[in-house]
This record gives sequence, structure tokens and C-alpha cells, in this order.
Amino acid sequence: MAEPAAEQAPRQQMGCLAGLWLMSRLPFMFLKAVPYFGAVLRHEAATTTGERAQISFEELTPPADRAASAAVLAEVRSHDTGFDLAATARGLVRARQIVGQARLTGDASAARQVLSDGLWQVLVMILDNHAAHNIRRKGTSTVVEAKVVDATRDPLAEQLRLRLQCRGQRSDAMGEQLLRRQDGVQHTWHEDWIIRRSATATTPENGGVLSGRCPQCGAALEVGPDGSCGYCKALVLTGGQDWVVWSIEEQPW
Amino acid sequence: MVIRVLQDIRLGIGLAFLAYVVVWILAFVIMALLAAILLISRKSPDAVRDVFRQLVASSSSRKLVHVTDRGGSPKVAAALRNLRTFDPVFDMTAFLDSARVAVGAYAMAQIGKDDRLLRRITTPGFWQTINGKMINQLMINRDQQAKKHPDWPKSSSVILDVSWRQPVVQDVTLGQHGVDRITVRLASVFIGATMPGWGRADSATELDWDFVRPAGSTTDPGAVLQRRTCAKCGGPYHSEMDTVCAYCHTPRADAQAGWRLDRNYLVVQTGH
Repeated sequence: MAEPAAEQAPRQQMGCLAGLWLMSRLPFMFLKAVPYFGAVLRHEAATTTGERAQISFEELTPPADRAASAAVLAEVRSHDTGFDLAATARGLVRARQIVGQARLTGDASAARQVLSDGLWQVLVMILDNHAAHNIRRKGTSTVVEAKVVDATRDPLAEQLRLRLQCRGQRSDAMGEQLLRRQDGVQHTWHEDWIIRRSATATTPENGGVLSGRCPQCGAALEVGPDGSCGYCKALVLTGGQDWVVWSIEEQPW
Repeated sequence: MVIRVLQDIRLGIGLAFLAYVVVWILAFVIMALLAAILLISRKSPDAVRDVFRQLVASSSSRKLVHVTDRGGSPKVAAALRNLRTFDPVFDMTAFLDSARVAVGAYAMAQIGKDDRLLRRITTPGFWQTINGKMINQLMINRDQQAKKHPDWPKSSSVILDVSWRQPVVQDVTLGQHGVDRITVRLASVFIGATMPGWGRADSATELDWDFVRPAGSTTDPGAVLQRRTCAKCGGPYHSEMDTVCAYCHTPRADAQAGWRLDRNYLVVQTGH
């Protein structure tokens, strides 16, 4: 219903007054920024943003020297005769499916059984943030190739970086608004999945965490939210006994 | 007499107007400076940006930023070995994993405007540092905005993903000032989107993260467990972010095996 002109006029006047009031306060609002000037300067000097951030930090780490990686893998095999790289890669592909499912459903608990404690907590935070903003992941993808691009070992831990070539579609949307996407046709991209375990750990006979088995008792892995096996209560996701997914790095998309 | 009063009033109004004009000029200068900083920092070639970084680095206190041209300290390996002799259960994998939680918690506070987890894993001293104060101020602004505009989103930015690059232990000091301290350097990559329009806003910031624990502490392997129920009353926590028990209000223990974030420094890379 149209408002009478007599009622509209005072409202317009109030709108004008509010606008004038805001304009008169505007310069003082800018002056409030002065105490933060130094912080802004330092932050800008230390932060890389936008495309530069993608090129400098999001691009995948270049593969390490092949011979050096091969030597580390030989060392791993020498202290762990049960180590099978192909089986480990298959386990990692399975882990990726589990984490992917957690992202699709927004339920981080599904990924609890493969991620290291810290990585899982970060995923929980991210998915909490997504739920708060109604952000959903869509799409499916498969791994078409997995190869070791870096292997390191020191007295405390050993670590493998596997580069997965993936094919499919994916998008992040906030309600109906797309935030980022690789959809429409089948895309190919790479992801680095880094697995890590203690330098003294050896491959469990049943395959261990990446195969969905408890490295301690061998039961089908049902990890509680605290990271312990549902049966024997051993801490299985600290990397002390077996490989855990330690880090996930993706090409920018 | 009346004329004089009127002249004084006119003079007063004139001075007030002049002062207001000066405020506007200052505001324009500040806006122009901020725009210039953003332009140099974000849109200029690497060489110009490097000069900018060097200028900021040379004029900043060591308490605020660390300057580096890459490369770690050779003393660190020896210090870590020393730590292992006092604390044989210390596990670098678990330590770095918990360091990552601190990075995520910091991102969640800074970008997601939720500081609950960060409060659980920091020392009181962290909140006296410039970055701690900045997070505090962000939370105050968030609360003020929520009161004024309850229908607005809590945060004007979202985190799509958080990633980090290979962490490097920069320094280890044992027993100094009553604490053991480990400094970890890593780049945190935040893939995000911001209002208006929710356009992509990715950023990568390299920071040194100082973690401390009381001197002479040893690692309790069970302390990495993230408790799901309250140790006092047994009540369940409803979220990973809960800081106190919803039933008996007992503070929730942290799961960082005794290590707490004490401060973090921006790292300015120069010499590219």
C-alpha cells in the first residue's frame, strides 16, 4: 500500500539528517585508524595476497631430487620390511575419499580416522566456519595417479609427500553463490598429501590406519573423537605407531 | 556589546569550521597513505615491494617483526637433542601437529572472528602482545557490531581452507626465564572469501610462533588427547570450540601436551 506523501516527507528529512550526521563524523572515523597504522604497515610487509599468494605459496612444492627420495625410501624399507609403497598409496587414496566425504557432508567426524590430531582439529574449525556461513562443497573426483615426490627421514620421523593427480569437478558455494569452482567439464589437478610417522614405526601386518585397521590391536578402525581406538584405546593418530595424514596441500583453484 | 558578542560567535564558528576542514584534510591524507601502502604492497612489482619490506623491516622493533633472508639456525638440532635428553618422550611430530592447531585457531580468531580455541591454547602473556591485543580489539568490534546490527553476518570473511607449508624449528631455549621455548616458522595460507560480493581473498603470512611450557616439564603422552567430556562432572562438550563445561562451568583443559602459544611475530622476507 502506498504511504501518504505527508508521512514520507519526515522520513526523508530524517534520512537526510542521518546522512549529514554520518558525513560530519566520517573524517573522525578515518582518524581512528591512526593508532593501527604501524600494524597495517607491518602486516602488509609480511603478508602476500591475491594472485601473488597463489603463485608464491599455494603452488605445490617442486618435487625433490629423485635419487635422494629413492635413498630415503630404501632406508624406510630397510628398517621396515613390511613397507609397501603401492599399498601405502592405495591407503592414501582411500583416506582422500574419506576426507572428501567429510567435506561433502560437512561432518568432520568422518575424517577422524585418518587425519593427524592437529590436522583434524583444523578441519573441524573450517567445517564449523562453513556451516556458520552455509558453505557447501559439491562435486566428485577420483585419483588417477599417485607418486612419491619427496621422502625425508630424520632420527625422529619419516615423511612421504605423495602427489595425487585427480580428475573430476568440485565447487564451494555459499547458498546459491559460487565462491570457487572447477566444474562444467572434467578437470585435472594435483594435490600433495603428506603422511608422517615416527622413525621407529613399522607397518602393521594388517595394513594399519590407512587401510582402516588399528595398528595396535588390528580391529577395524573406529576412532573416537579423542583419537583413540574404540577397542584397545591406543592413541593411533599421533603418528607414533603408523602413518597418518599429516598435511594436505592443493593447487589454487 | 551585542555586535562584539556576534563577532565572537562568528569567530568561534569560523575557527570550528577551520578545525573541521583540517580534520577532513588529515582524513584525506590518511586515506591516501593507506591507499598508497595497499597499492605498493599488493599491486607493485617485486622490486618495489621488496624496498617497501626492507623499509618496514628496518624501522620495526625486533619485538614486532622478525626479518629474514631465509635459512635456519644450526644450533637448533643440538638444542632439540638436548631437549630429548631431559624429556625423552618429546615427540616433534606431535609438537608440530599441535603448533598447527595454534595456526588454525589464530586464523579462526582473525578471519572467522571466533577466539574461543585460541584462548584455550595461549598464555596470558599472549594477550599483552600486539597481535593478542589486535585479536582482542577484533572481538570487541565484533560484539559491538553484533549489538548494533544483529542481522548482519558475524564475520565479513570466511575461510575456505587453511594450509601451511613445511614448518621449520627456528630456535629452542631451555630454562630461560623459567620456561622452555620453541620457535617454529611457517607460512600460513588462508584461502578465503570476503564481503562485499564474497570475492576470493587469499593471503599467505609467514610468522614465527613461540610455544612455551614451564621449565623442566616433561611430555605427558596422554595430554595430546582432546577430552570430549568434562573431567569434573563428566558432562559432554558440544563443540571442539567449547572452552568451559556447559554444566559445571569448569574450564576445559588444553590438548597441547603442556605447550602454549606465547607470542607470534610477523616475518618480513627481504632480499628476493
